[in-house]
Amino acid sequence: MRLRKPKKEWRHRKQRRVRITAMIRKELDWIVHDKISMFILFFLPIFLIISVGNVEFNIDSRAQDTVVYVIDLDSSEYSLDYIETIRGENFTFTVYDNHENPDLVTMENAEALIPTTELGAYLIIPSNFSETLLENQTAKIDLYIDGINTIEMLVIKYQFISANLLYQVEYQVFNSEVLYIPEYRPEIDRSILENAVPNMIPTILYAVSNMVACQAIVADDPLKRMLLSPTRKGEVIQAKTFAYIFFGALLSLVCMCVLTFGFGIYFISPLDTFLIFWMTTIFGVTFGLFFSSLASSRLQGAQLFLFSFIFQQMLVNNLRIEPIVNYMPIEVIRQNITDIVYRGIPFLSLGNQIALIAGMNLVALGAAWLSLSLKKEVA
Amino acid sequence: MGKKIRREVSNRLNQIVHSIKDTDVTIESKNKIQYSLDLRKVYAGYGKTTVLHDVTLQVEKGSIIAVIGNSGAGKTTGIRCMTAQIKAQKGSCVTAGYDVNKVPEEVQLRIGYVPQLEYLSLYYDFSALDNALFFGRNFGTPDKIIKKRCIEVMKTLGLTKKEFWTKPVKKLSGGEKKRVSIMIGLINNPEILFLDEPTTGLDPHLRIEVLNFLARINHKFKTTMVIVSHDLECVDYCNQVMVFAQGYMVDFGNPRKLTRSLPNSGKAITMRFHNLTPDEEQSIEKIPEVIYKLHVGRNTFKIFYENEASLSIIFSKLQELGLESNHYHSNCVFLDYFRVMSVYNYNKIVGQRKLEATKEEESK
Repeated sequence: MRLRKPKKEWRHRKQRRVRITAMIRKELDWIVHDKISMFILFFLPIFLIISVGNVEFNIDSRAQDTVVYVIDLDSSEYSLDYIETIRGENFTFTVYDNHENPDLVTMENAEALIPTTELGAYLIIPSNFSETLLENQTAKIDLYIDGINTIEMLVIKYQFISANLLYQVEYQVFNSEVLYIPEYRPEIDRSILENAVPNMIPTILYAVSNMVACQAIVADDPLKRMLLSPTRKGEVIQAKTFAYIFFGALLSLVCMCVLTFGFGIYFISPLDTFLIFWMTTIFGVTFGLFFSSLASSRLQGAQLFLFSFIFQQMLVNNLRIEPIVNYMPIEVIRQNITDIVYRGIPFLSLGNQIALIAGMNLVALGAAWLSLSLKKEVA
Repeated sequence: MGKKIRREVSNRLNQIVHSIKDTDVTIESKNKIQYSLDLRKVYAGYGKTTVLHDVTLQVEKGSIIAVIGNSGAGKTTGIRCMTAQIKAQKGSCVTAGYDVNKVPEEVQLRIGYVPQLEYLSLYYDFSALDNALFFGRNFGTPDKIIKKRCIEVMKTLGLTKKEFWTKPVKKLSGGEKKRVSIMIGLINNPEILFLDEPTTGLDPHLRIEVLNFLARINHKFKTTMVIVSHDLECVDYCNQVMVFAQGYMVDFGNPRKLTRSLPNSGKAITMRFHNLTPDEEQSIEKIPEVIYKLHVGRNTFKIFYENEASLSIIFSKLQELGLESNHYHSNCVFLDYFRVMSVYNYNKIVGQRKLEATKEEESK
């Protein structure tokens, strides 16, 4: 039997580079053409940022145009001021009182309409309201809120708490009570989105990059055929990692642009902010690839993502089991992201923590390679 | 009847053994002959389980080979071994001049593979040309050559319009997808193309069309083709056929020669009886001159006999039994051979092979 002499050209570094580059190009093309992946990667984070960015304007929309009847039995200057306060632009009530609408705002009408959708709440200002305030006593107002719609109920309740506080401050109707007015240094008037960035952005970036990477291998059906060429499994892992990391960088940049240009959020050091955002996506990608190499179907890939995400969130937010939680990359990122984003601490000053996350990424990739190598059926 | 079967089994075994011995002599004397496939006493399987036993065969360059057999016969394992997806547990498996156990990557550079299901082997959102680029680059082929090769093969496969190369694969018809898949298999200009069930799931006219295209490719590029199929119509296009049963290769040879090895050089008589009872059917089988009897329809049989003299005896015995029939002479096709062998002989051949293998093991 005559055998040919092996040329071993497939082993050459140049050939390997060609193959890996080809795989990366294929992967990039593939993700771009995959509408669902693009939706998850880019639309979801931007949608969430925009939603949270607009939260302060819309939080009370559930109690918009809530009709409130005020039955003023005191009819004093104090009670009229109180009615004016809750009519103010800070609150979303449509207020009717018994002075302007004596036929409409009656006790009988209020009691009859409260279980319906026509009336959100009614309050009774007692006849001794001004007298009690003048005596520096605690004035009691009877407030009845429609209890059927729970969310609306809570919004109305908190608006009335705010209204009371505002009334007390504006009209100086407190005496012995100590009013606690905090001040902040430096004086930063942060929006809800700005406050949410350190917690929300790492979670979103990790979740979407992990979710998409979880399908990278298991959903790549033609990969099995691709592996009949001299392409090795290690090269597949390398190529997919590079491709998804590239998308992670793109995603981090897009998020930063939306935050900066869409909502005016100022990052002291954009480069360091970008690096920590990117590191979060890399962590999502490497673990996603590991899950994808373990899974034997797309559904299993999605299940692994969901299970690991819920488990991680429980560990970081609720259970906080020491010392595991301190080694969780998402926790490390969360602990440091505020300092990097708002204090301008350099990314590289994290030192050991970066090394820890990089090490975990490498372990995840090694495990992905091992799992893929041991698999008989790839996709 | 039993003696006849034994004699037939013995003849077939001798043929196989002699063909193997002859081939060995040929290799040694004509050392320069390059075989596309050269398997010597190959055992293959998964882990400790051996699925394929003692396979020896040589396939010359440019041939078209059919690999047939029932489910679980070992066809897929055989192909996996030949394409270096799994290693041979024992023996030597040389594909395209390279040992699959020693240098699988060299083998993979020189083979093409067309899987059974297109949706698992092509990127549907991309055009045929993009798919060709994805797969071709993995062989280290420059883009320019891939494009040229893709267009050349697509044209040979009858997809001459540009839209076939540029349209997303998902918008192509079933037959067109299959041809794109074949094109991908040929993108690295392989010495051997392995096709897994290339005609399964296609309409009858498309099956023939695909087989014609394969023959055209074989003629133009001189690519050796190994076709794994359940459809025996592909055998018509093949120079040689390997038949697997229960993990053993029970037949290997030219399909026409194999068919002619049937009694009376493959000439039989087809008889359609009126109202045949099971007892009457058995009585036909008991006629000593009837060598084999195959069901080919309702109350219709293909009867194999030794020669014209025995045919007259069969007719007279049927008359004695009072069985009336319409009949016509027919030449057998490979399907008849396969059915005769699988119904009457394969299990016995496998038993014999197993016995031989055990004896060989013991003697070692």
